[in-house]
Amino acid sequence: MNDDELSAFLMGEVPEPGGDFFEDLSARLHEINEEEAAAAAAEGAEQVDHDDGNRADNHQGPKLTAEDDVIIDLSEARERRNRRWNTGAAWRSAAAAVALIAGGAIAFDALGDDDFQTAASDSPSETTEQPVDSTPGDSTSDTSNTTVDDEQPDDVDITGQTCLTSGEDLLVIQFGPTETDPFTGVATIGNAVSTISGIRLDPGNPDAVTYLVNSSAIGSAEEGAPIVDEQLWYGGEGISINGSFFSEVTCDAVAEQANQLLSFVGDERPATPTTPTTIRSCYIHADEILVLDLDTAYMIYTGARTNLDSIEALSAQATGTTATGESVLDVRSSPLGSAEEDGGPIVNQLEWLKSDARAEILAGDQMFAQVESCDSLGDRVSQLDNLVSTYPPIIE
Amino acid sequence: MTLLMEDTGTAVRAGDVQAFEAFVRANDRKLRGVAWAVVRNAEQTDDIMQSAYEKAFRALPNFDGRSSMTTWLHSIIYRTAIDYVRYEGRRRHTDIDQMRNVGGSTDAASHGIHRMELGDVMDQMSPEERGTLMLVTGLGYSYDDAAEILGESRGTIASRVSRARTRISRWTDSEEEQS
Repeated sequence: MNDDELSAFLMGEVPEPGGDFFEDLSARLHEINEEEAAAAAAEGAEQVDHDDGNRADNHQGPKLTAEDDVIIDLSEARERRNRRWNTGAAWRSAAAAVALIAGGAIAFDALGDDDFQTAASDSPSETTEQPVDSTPGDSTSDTSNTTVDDEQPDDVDITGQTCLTSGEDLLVIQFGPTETDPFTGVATIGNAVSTISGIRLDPGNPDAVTYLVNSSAIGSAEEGAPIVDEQLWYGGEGISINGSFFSEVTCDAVAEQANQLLSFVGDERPATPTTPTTIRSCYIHADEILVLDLDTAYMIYTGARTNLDSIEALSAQATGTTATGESVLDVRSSPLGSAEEDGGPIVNQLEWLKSDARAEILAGDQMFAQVESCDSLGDRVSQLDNLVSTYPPIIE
Repeated sequence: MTLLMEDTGTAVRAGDVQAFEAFVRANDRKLRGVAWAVVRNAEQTDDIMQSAYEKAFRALPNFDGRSSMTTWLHSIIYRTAIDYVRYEGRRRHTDIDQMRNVGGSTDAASHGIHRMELGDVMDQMSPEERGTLMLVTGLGYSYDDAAEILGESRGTIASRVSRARTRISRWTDSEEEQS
């Protein structure tokens, strides 16, 4: 069979769209248009408030209570970073976000780039378009000379380029430039955050980076398919995956591991959500601790518990050098407290289930709440605020 | 089609719903070929295309026109389709009746191809192989362009196409032996 025959066959098979396909599409596109116009209008209004120095939170969650608190929209920073993926300037943006912290409020976008599906699917420009550099919006701080830039772990970029490996159709690990969320200490790797949801710098071992696989396309402990517990990147020496050490890390080596991992997966792969959330930039604030962006994070661990009182400490944490303070960043312990540390488990995790368009807040093993909107989430967070007041997290 | 893209490109990128609709209507068959190749189910293809078009429309502000819009859309569609297969676990569902009745059958029939049997061969391929084969052989993309669309290396593309062609060659050889 020659190419022409095969081409004719392939294209001849393609079915016509269903009867109402274009009508439905048209209606949906108009809806999106209206949604985005409304969102743009809301953003404009928010900016006006912000410029007045009296920021009124336009989001649906509870508003800040401290006048000097600042919520940082990391989604904007992330967008800027995404446009810089290939420039290695992601760290600069992260530093910009750090510099924007003022007044002690903590805002973070937990596992911000964990929306592999939307990141990969919505933004194919990462592969088909060239990155467009841009200047961080309204930052008033010059962050170009922060230590973050100087200390970015180039060695994480294994090949110097994009190391893209594929194990059948399941596992893709892309060791591209990393970015570290300064608030959570979580770094994301390249674009394949559905596989490895983040890395955590180990303050006790500056050379080690823990790759946390909280939830992945491979499966997660919560879902009965623990496959990868961790990957440790030891400087330029190698990588450890589930205790197996690989001294010469190449795409092939990782791919080989990926194929081995596949054999464990079977049909246990989690039902990773595919339905985009309808909640955009839902910010929830709980006593200067919790802010969630449900637009991008389908798996949210409630984030940073921190006593960070200086930008320097946070920067040090983010870069994996020894923290100058006593701060602890652990995305898997709640900002509202954790069972391990203070006996007052409030929230262990908040899981956003895109497929069901709802979020689950877990306190210990108990379901604390199911929320379906920013408003309802806000109500729950208000309740959490009360709990926090009763059982304040112990800050180390 | 290229002319259409150029004519409407500015309006499409500006988020003009009508322009975007016009573009996808004019190019839908070519665009949906990738989704179909991956899932081989008409209804699922519709679902994927709906989702992919929505994603693309939302992402239009990020599209700067450095690649063609069809290339850009094919990338979105492929990723959406692969996500769908991975996470919905439906990749092996092939509706035989739909395959018999899908549109455009005359082209294949006119080439004397035993569709069902070749369809079976296609079913044996991985979704990635089928998607890649569609891009390269069905739609005429170069290996480099396909690699860009799929976010894979050129070698991966070549490997997939080679594997797919090998399967087909085995089938054609078998057919010839039987005849």
